Formats: sequence, structure tokens, C-alpha cells
Amino acid sequence: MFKCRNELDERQLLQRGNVFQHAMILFVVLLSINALLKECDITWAEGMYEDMLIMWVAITLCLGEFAILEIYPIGGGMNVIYIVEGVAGAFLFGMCLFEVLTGREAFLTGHTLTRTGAEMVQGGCMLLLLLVFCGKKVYNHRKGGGEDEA
Amino acid sequence: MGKNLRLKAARANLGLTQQGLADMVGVTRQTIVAIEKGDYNPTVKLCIQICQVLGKTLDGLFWPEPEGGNDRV
Repeated sequence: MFKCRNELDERQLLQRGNVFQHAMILFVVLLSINALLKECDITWAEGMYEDMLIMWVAITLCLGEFAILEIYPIGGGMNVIYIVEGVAGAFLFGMCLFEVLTGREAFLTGHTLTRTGAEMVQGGCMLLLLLVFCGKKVYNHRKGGGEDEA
Repeated sequence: MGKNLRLKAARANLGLTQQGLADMVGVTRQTIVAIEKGDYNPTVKLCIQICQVLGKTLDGLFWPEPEGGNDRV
């Protein structure tokens, strides 16, 4: 009657702002910690994976909160993103886990994540998003989606 | 912020579900749930839309009741 249902309503817009705020704060905190570690000559992941993992942790928090709060900024397309990303994550995680378990690659060298280890963590983040998304769908289904709540 | 029982009653009187009201005002059911529970304070624009759909006045649905009432927004 008043607006298209694909858009976010005012409460969701407010929540979306809060989610971005959380991700932004986490991102800045992690970058600051990383900068501090670099200043102390501490490398916790190989090559570009320090920055990549920081980015993925922030993205995981952001998309995870979106899934829990059911805020999908691009409407139904978000479902596809969660599923494709989750499947890719599961594949990446599984592949890296296989390499680590068979002894072809190490997860850690000293106190540093190897490339395989970092990709495993990245895959885990992606897989976690799919699990949160599916968990929320199952929760809604069990709760009885269209019924009134007290 | 307490529960908004007047909104709930007005909706029930018209035989509307939370989803039905949400569809009519263009928000999600969760938003209507949050307003009825008192967890979310809607904007004046949304209050007016709800009042129009339910045929009530802003005072009737959203104005805080005098002391003793527990169904304020």
C-alpha cells in the first residue's frame, strides 16, 4: 500500500546502520592491532593474508548480523550470495583441511599462519556465514513464520 | 517503553494479523512486532500510516496514557 516490500523499512535501515558501525569499529580495531604487531616485527600470517583475514573477519561480522537480523540490502539476491559464498567457503575449507591433514601443507610455521592456514580460516569464515544463514531460516521455520507474536 | 496494547487491540478488532498490517503499511512483520512489544519507537510517518490503515487517531494509538496506564509507546 505504501511502499515496495523489497526495500528496507525504517527499523531495518536503523539496524543496517548499526551493523555497519559494528563492522567499521571491528575493522579499525583489528587494523590498529595489526599495525602495532607490525611495529613489533610480529608476523601472524604470511604475505597479504594478514590484511585479507582482517577484512574477512569484518565482512563475516557484517553479513552474519545481516542474516541474524534478516536485513538483506539487495533483497532476494542476498540469498544467492550467502549460498554461493558458503559453498565456495566449504570447498576452500575442505581443500585446505585435506592438505593439512595429509601433511602436504602446514597450518602454522612457528607463530605464523601459512597461506594454507590463512585460506582455511577464510573458508571457515565463509562457511560460518552459510551456517548462520541456514540456522536463521530453520529457526524461522520452526517458530512459524507468518503467525502473530505476543 | 512498555507494550503498545492499544495498537494490538485495534489491529485485532479489524481482524488483521501482524503480517497483514505490515503488508498494508509497507514494513516487515518484525517491525510491527517490535512496535507492539515496545522495542521500537516508530517515526511519525509510520505512526500516521498505521493510524490510516487502522482508522484511528495518533492520540488514540500512540499518545502516552496518563499515569497508571502500561500500554505506552
